[in-house]
Amino acid sequence: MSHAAHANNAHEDLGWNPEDPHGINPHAHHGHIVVGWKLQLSVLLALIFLTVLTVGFYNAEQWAETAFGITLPGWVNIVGAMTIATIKATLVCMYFMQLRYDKALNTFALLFCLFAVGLFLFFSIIDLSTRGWVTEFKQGEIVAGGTGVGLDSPPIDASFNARVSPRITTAGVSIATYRRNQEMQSWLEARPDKEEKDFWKYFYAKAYKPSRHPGDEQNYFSQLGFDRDPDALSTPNRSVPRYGRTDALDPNPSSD
Amino acid sequence: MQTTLDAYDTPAPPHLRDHPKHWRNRRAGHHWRNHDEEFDAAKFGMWLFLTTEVLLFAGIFCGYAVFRFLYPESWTAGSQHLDWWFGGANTIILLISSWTVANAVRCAQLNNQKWLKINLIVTLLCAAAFVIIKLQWEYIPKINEGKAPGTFFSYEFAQTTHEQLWWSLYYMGTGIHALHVLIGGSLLGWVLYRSWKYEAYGPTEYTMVENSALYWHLVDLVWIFLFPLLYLIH
Amino acid sequence: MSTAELSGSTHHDHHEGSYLDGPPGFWSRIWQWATTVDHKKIGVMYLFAVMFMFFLGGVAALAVRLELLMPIRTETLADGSTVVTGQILSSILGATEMSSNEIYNRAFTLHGAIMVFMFIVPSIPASLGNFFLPIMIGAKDVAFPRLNLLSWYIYVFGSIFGVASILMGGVDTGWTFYTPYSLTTDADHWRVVLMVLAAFILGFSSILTGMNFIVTVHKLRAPGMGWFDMPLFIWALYATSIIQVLATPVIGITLLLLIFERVMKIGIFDPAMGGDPVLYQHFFWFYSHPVVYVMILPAMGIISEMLSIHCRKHIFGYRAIAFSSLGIAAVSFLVWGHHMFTAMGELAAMLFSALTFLVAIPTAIKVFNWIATLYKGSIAINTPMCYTLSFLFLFSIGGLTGLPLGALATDLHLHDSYFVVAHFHYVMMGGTVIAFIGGIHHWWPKMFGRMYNEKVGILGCAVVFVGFNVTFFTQFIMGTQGMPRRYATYVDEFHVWHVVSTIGSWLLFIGFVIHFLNFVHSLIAGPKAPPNPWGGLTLEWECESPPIEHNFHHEPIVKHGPYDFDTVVPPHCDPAEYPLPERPEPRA
Repeated sequence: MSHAAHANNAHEDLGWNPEDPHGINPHAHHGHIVVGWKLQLSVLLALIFLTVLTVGFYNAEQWAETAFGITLPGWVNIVGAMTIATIKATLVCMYFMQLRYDKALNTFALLFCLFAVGLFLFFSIIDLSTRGWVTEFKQGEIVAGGTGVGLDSPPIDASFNARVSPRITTAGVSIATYRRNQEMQSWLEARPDKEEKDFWKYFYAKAYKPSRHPGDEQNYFSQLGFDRDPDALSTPNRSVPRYGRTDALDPNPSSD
Repeated sequence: MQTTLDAYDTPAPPHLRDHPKHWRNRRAGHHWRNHDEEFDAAKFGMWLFLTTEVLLFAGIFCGYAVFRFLYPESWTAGSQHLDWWFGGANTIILLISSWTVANAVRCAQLNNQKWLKINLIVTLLCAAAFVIIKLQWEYIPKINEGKAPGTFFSYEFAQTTHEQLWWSLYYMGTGIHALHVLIGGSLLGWVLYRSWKYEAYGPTEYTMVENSALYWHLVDLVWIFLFPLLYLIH
Repeated sequence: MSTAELSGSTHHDHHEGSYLDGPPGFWSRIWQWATTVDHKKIGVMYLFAVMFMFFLGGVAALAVRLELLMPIRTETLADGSTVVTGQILSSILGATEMSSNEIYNRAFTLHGAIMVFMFIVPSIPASLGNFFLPIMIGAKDVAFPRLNLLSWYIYVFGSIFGVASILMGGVDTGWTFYTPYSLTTDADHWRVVLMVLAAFILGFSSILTGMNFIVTVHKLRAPGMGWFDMPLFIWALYATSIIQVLATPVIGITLLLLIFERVMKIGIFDPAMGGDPVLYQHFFWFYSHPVVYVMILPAMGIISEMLSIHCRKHIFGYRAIAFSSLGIAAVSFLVWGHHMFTAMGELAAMLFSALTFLVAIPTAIKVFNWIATLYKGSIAINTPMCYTLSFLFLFSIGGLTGLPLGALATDLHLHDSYFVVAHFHYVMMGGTVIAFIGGIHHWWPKMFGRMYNEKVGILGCAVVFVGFNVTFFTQFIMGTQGMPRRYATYVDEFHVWHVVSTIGSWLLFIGFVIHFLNFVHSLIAGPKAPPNPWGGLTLEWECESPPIEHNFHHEPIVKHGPYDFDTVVPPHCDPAEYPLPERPEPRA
């Protein structure tokens, strides 16, 4: 390097080293670490491999479910994806952001921050998941899509509202139901010969994308007479994809 | 760690040799004892700033977790509207850009001015590709289908009850992330401009390169978590 | 690849005059101040800005108390018509379209929002902290001087949004902006969005200050100053900054979501769309509870400084006080749920209640150590000391009344009552504001190079102390008897207490006016201050009064602790005036 590295013996009479005034680092005259390109390239390749792995894991799981009806527990999916993401993040932090070669202080800053994030998530979710344990009213009823109350409050600014922010009167139904009803109305008006039954056929044909999520008709197990549990409901720990009508949006619920 | 390939030192062009913005002519601020301490402080400050960014995104992640707990069906349904091809492509684009920006720091440390610029340009191209993919194949088609947040939600074929909330979190999360992509891109563009014009960054003065790179890595880090949460977990 | 390079003070021309000196001409002075990166000037600019906000918030507080002088009643006259009596605010303002209730709601919201976001959070760290943190650790400036100036401009920018919202008619959400009310109130107007935006912008200013302080403390301490040679004010500011950096971004995302929620109805906090309003409270208090310690920790630091210097005794339990600052910062992230006991699930509420009591431990450590420091000290009765003693008295009451509020069972009775109001005013005003005013007196000679009139200062302190207790102790009584907060009217049983409380608020106002006049007089005609009027040992007393532009003529080398009053003669002081205690001869 052309720039001179300065030895500072001139300061011995001061009684302290101006480059390391607090005596923290006995080798204060350090150079900055240069991470070699081979290492960085292999880290990149590892990261890309992990990305392919996590996508492959997702697709394998989807395939197992649609083709054979093998449903893995919900945590497998979450834990798998988040573990791979965490490994990737660690690689980026250690090598690309050079925490491995850096002063420990920067790592501490990051760890403190992750600790705060952990507290934030932990306590918020503790509350949400136990709210109805003792007194049920604290849980509150989950209204499908929300109550819709107050959505039609006056606009902040009439011209702004017209351009950007719609205020709608959903008449107390959820916004998804409201939009679907709108669609049904216009669909039926355009086709006087059709009735509501036909709309639902059209609806499920549109709503359902067999190209990406092949459903029960392609399920080898169901062709053999085995079927997925039709009453399987999602729980907080397990999302069951619904390929069919959702009770919550059914205008005439059939149950009971 | 160091190889012969790394040993590359660009001599300063004559017209920049005495330019005050050239890296060799940079002096530490008046309240610092030396360059090293100033650099360490700036980097530590940047890390503190990154912690605030992580906590900013923590709000989005917390909202995601809470509503996934409350409305798992809607989260499944929402996730299945997203195509992992685009998310995965964007992940790889960001990883590559993270690699090139890390290389840019290395080039600055080694005074390899040519590859410093090339790495920065590739990073910026990656940023542009990310935004274009995001807009062209994600935001615009989805908004046209009515899969929009909140009261904008006008997708007629929703089968689950709270899909509008999924889209709210999707747009807030990816939107704030995209904003960070733009900010990071602007920072790196500034670095590119200064190194093009003045060769402002070199072995003794690359704080700005390092800190912009750290910011860019954070953008990458956030996406590393957003990608599986939005596209893969069901 | 070493990049070490010495850039000592020899490279730069020292400006040896006071930092207050400037070029001739009014506009060039203004330009010099507006573009300065000197932490002292920025600290002074912050001091004036937050004091202006304190005035605005104080006016709102006086309005709130004024309305409560009489209950609002609707009376039926003999002819069957009704008349509303007691509408003080609307009759004073001559308002026709707004009732007194609505003005009252806006007044207390403005009082809360201004005092919290624009006054008390930036007050001590950004003004006294900015001025004294670099000096007390022997640095020439904070680590990032330009970011420091940026933070002041962001503060002013954010405050302009807040004031604009007031001028457009004010906000009635309460300073907490709870959903869903804040989503639907004033739905045809932008002012709620403006106020939320103001708080959002002010957050950035807070983050920048915090970052700057942490890096400064880590990297710019003078040679010889280890971590445990730092003054306790620095420890307090360090702990404060950690909270600012870790908590403030969460309010950023919260308020951003709230703005989107209000403008675009994205529904995350809105039950109409299936969102969860209690989630908003979680988000909000994850910031706003730790920020309570952002308010009080620097005040505790000031008290440690003033107490030790003005009773000329080494602070008792230095390390305990230093670590308890960090302890409070750590615990502050564990207790936010106690603001939502009535809304949360029972398990979380129990956890939060138990954790809340942890706060009492480091706080009590501090108070006991302060009292032990007073013991056998040579206590000087001057304004800073009077304020210190007021702080100990008022803060202890405020802290102890926090315990019944942290206990689940009693909180269900006391929540949202005047007991809560009195509790946090005892902590925030009796703690932070009292320490802040005391700190301004303590460092006034250093900042402006002039002495203030001690007798007037003590008189002002006495009036503030009495006025404060008259105002707020009555509110403890009303609270236990069931007076709910944020009501513009009340039943007749509370009338006497409300009248007493309102009179107290006028006393408080008079006390602050006395201080204000005293300071103005000091600036104009006060005697010139010596460099070390109190005989302090921390580094700021080694500088000139007021300090020169780069603080020190030579980089100081720290050779003694900040409180070694029994072994060191204070700089610039006569040894005869500050005699060292006689020590027994060491044994042969």
